[in-house]
Amino acid sequence: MGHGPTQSRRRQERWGFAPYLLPAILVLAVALLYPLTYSLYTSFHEVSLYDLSRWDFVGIDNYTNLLFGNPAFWPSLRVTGIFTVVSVFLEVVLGLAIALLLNIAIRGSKLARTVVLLPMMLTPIVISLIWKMLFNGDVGLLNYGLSTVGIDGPQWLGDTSWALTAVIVVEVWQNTSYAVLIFLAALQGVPDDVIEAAHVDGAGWWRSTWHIVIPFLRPALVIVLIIRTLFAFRAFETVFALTSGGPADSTLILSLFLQRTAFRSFDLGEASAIGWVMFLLALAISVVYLLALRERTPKRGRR
Amino acid sequence: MSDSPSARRRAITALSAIGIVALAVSGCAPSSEPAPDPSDLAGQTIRMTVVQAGFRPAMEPAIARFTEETGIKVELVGYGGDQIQEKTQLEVSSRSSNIDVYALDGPPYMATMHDALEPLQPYVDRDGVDLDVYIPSMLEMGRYPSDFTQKEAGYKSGTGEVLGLPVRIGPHILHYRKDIFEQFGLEAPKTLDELREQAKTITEGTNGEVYGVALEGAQSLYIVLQWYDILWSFGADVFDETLTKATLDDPRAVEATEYFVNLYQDGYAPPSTPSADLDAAVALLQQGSAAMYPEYFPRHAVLNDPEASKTAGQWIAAPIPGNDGNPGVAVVTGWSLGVNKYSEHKDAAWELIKFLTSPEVQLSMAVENGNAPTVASVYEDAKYQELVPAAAVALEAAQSSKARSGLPGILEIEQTILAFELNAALVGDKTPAQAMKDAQQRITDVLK
Amino acid sequence: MINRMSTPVKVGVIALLVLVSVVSIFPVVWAVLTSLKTRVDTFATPPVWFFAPNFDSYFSLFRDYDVMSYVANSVTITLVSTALTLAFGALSAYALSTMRFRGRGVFLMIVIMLRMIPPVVLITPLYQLALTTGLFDTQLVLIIVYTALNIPFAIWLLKGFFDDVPRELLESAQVDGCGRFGVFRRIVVPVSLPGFFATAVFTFVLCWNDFLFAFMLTSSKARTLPVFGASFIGDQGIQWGQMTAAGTVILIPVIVFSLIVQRWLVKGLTAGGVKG
Repeated sequence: MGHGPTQSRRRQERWGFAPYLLPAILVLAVALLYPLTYSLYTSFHEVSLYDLSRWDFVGIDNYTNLLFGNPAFWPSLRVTGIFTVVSVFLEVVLGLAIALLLNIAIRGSKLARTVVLLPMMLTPIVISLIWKMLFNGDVGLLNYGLSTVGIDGPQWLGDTSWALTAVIVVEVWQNTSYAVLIFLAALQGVPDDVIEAAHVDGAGWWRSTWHIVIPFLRPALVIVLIIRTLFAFRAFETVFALTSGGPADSTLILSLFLQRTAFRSFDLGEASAIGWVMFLLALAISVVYLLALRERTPKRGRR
Repeated sequence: MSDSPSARRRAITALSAIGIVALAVSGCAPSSEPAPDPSDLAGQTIRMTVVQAGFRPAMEPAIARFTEETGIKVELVGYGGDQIQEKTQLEVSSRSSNIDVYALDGPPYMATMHDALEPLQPYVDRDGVDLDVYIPSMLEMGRYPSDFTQKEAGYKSGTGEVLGLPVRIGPHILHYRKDIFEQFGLEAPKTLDELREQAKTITEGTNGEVYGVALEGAQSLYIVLQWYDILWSFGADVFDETLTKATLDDPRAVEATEYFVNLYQDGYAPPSTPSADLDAAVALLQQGSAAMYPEYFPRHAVLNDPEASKTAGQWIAAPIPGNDGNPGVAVVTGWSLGVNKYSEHKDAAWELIKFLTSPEVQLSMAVENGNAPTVASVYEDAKYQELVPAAAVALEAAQSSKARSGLPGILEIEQTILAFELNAALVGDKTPAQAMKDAQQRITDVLK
Repeated sequence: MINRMSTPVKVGVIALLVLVSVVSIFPVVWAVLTSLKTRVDTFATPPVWFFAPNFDSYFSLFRDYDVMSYVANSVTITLVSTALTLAFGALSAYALSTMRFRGRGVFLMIVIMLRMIPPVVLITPLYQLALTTGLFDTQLVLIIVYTALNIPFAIWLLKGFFDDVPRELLESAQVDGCGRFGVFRRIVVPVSLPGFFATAVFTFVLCWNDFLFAFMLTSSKARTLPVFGASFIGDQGIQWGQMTAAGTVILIPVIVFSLIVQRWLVKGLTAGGVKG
C-alpha cells in the first residue's frame, strides 16, 4: 500500500467524528453559546434597555452590587432555595409512591397511568392561570370545597405565609408526573424473578419493595433529582402566572427577579449578572449531585 | 468570549444602519409634500399593537371598516395587559420596523419610547386635523415633553411634540352599587372619610356578605393606581413638580397610605384583597361581594354587562371623593396611538390613527363597541349618555384628573418599588410609615 | 401479585388510584368546563356544575382570531424542532458513543453545562440576535432555539442507549463492509428506536408548551398557541372563556399524543436512559 492513502485514511479516521458533531455544534453555538457569552460580556457593563447604544464598562460592579447592595437578591435566593428543595423533595416522594402504586397490576391501573402522566404535558402558563382561579380566596373552588367540610381556607395567594406553598403545590402537581414516568420506567427494569424469589422467601409486599425494589431505583432517583432540581431552579412561568412574585415578594424566585431587573429596571448589566449567578449556581448543584453519585456507585458494585 | 465585543459592535452597526436607512427613507417631512394619493396606500399591510381583551374588541369593527374604505390591511398584534409594555419596549429599543402603530399607555410609555415615535404635528397640519376636539388631558398624554413627563423648567402645557393621538380613555371613577346604597339610605360619598364610614356601614350591615369596597391589592401596578387616588386627594405626591425628587417623606403620604391600608385591615375590603388582581376584583364585584370600586372608567361596562355580571344594571358612578375640603384627584390613564419612526408604512399608519381618533369613529366605537371615547363632544351625545349614564362623571374626572408620571425609571418605581411597599404594608409586613420611608429611599436611589 | 392481595388492600389500592387520577385531571376538567361557561357562571359560588354549554368562546376564537395560523405555527415549529433535535442529537451521540477522539470529554462537559443555563438568561441576547439577523418573528428562529435547547438532553439520553448497543454488533457490521454512517443507519438507529421515542416525546412537550421564547421572539406572524392563550389577560380582566377555550385547543393534541405514545414512552425509557 502506498504511503499517501494510508495517511489520508488516518486523517480521515482522526477527523471522522467531526461531521457527526458539526450540526449540533453549530446550533448550540448560535443559540446557546453565543447568547451566554454575550450575557457574560453584558454583565460587566452598564447598559440600559432603552438606550442600547451606550455601553459603559464597569468591571464587576454589577456582581458586587447584586451580592452586597441589592436588598432583593438574598431574599430571592432564599425563596428560590425553598421552592426548589421542597418541590423536588415532594416530587420525588410522591413520584415514587405513585409509581409503585401504578405498578401494582390491578384493573384500571393502565387508565390511571395515562391520567397521572397528563399534567407534565400541559402548557404551564395556561394551567397556572387555571390554578390561580381555583386558589382565589373568596370565590375560588378550593376554599369553597374546604368550607363545605367546615374548614376556613387560607388566602392562598394573598398571605405571605401561604403563597409560596400554593406556588409549590402547582409546581409539584404539574411535575410529579415526570418523576412518576422515570420511576415507572425503572420499575420495568426490575427483574421479575427477583421479586418472585422474595415472595417465595415469604417477604411481604412492603418488605420486598423496600429491600429489593427500591435499591434498583437508585439510578433513576439520581436522574429525577438532577433534572427536577435544575428545572425547578429555573422555573418561571408557573410563578409568573400565579403571583408575579407577590405578596410582598414572598414568591420572588430568581428568574422573576431577573426578568424584573431587565424589563422594569431596564438594567441589562445587572440582569445578566443575575443570570450568570444563576448559571453558576446550577453548575454547582449539578457538580454536587454528580459527586454524590460517583461516590455511591462503586460501593454498590454496579457499573 | 473574545469575539463578543466585536459581535456586539457589528450588531450595533447593523442596528444603526437600519436606523439610518429608515431615516433616509423617511427623510421627507410630510408637511412639505402633498398628501399621498390614497390609492397608493391601498394594499399595504400595517401592524398595530393592542391589548387583546377589552381594547381589541372595542377597535376591531371600526378597523374592519377602515380596511374596507382605504384598502389598507391592518394586522392586530394582541398582547396581555401585563405583557404589552415590555414587548413594546423591546421593539422600540431595538428600533424595529416590525410594528407600524404603537398603542401607548400614557406618559410612562412616552418617557422611554419618545425617541422611536414619529412627530405627528406635520401630518396633523397637512390633513387639517383639529386637535381641540380631544379632552385636553388626554391629548397632553400623547405629547413629549408634557405636563406629566420630565421637562425643562417653565414648560407650557400643550407645547410638547405630539407623538400620539388619544384613542381610549380611562380616568378612575367610583363605581358603586345603587341597590346597596339605597338599602342603607346612603348617597355617593363626597369625602374619603365618608367613604370609609359607608364601607363600614355596608360591611357590618350585611355581616360581611357584601364588603364596602373592592381593592386590587396584589403586588402589581393596579394597587399603585388605586393608591394614587388617595395619595393625591390627600395632597401628597410621589415626585416634586420636575419629577426629579421623591417626596414621599411628606407626612400626608403616610396618612394616605394608612387610610388605604386600613380599608383592608379594618375589614371593609374582601379578605382576598392582597392577592386580588384586576380580574379577581372584577369577579368579586360581578358576583356581588363588594359595593364600591374606585377604578378605571371602561370597567363600568363590564360590571353592568348582564352576560358577565350578576349585579348588572346596579352600578352607577361618582367622582373619586376628596379629602379635607378639596375635591378628589383621580388618576387618569388612557391609550394613545403613535407611528413608529422606523416604520416603512408611515402614511398608512397615520391614516389608521386619523381614522380611529376621529370624532365620528370615536362616537361609533363608543356607542357600538363600548370604547371609552377621547373626544369631548361624544360625551354630550344623547345616545351615548343614555347608553352609559356614567359618561358625565367620566368626562368630569378626565378633565380634572392627573396622569401617571413619565420618567425613565417609572416602571421600576411603580411596579417594583411602590407595588412591593404597598403590598407589604397591606399584608402587615411593614407599617405604612415604614413602607413610605423605604419607598422614599429606594425611589431616591433610582432618580440618581 | 394481585392474587395475593386481600380485598381490603385491593379496595385501598383502587381508592388511591382514583384519588391520584382525580387530582391529576381535575384542573383540566375545570378548564374545559370554564371554556363552556358564561362569565357569570365562571366565578359563581357555590360552583355551577350543570349548565347549558355555551360554545361562544370557541366560535369567537375561530371567528375573531387567526387561531388556525397559530396552530399551524405551533405544529410546524414543534415537529421540525423535534426532528432536528433527534437527527443532530443522534449524530453527536453516535460519535460520542463509538469514536475515540481528543476533546470528547470536553465536548460532553460543555454540552451538559449548556443544559444548566436558565432559559431566562438567554432572552435579551437572543432577541437582539434575532433582530439583527432578520429572523425575528419567523418560525425559523424558534426552531433554532428549541433545537438548541433540546439537543443537550437528546445527546445525553441517546448516548445512554447507544452505549448499550453491543460492540460486537457494530464491529461485525463494519467487517461486513458498512461504513461508519452505514453502521449508524442500519444498526444503531433501529436498535435504539425506543430511545428515539422517549427523546421525541420530551422534546415535543417542551416545544409545544414553551411560552417564554415564543413570547419574546415572535410578534404576530410566527406566534404560537401558548402565547395566544396567555394574551387574554386584558385591561378589563381575564377573558376566561376564550382563554380556557384556547387552552383546550392547545391541550387536545397533547392529550391525544400522550395517549398514543404513553406505552412506548415507559418502554423507551426502560430500555436505556433511566439506567443512567
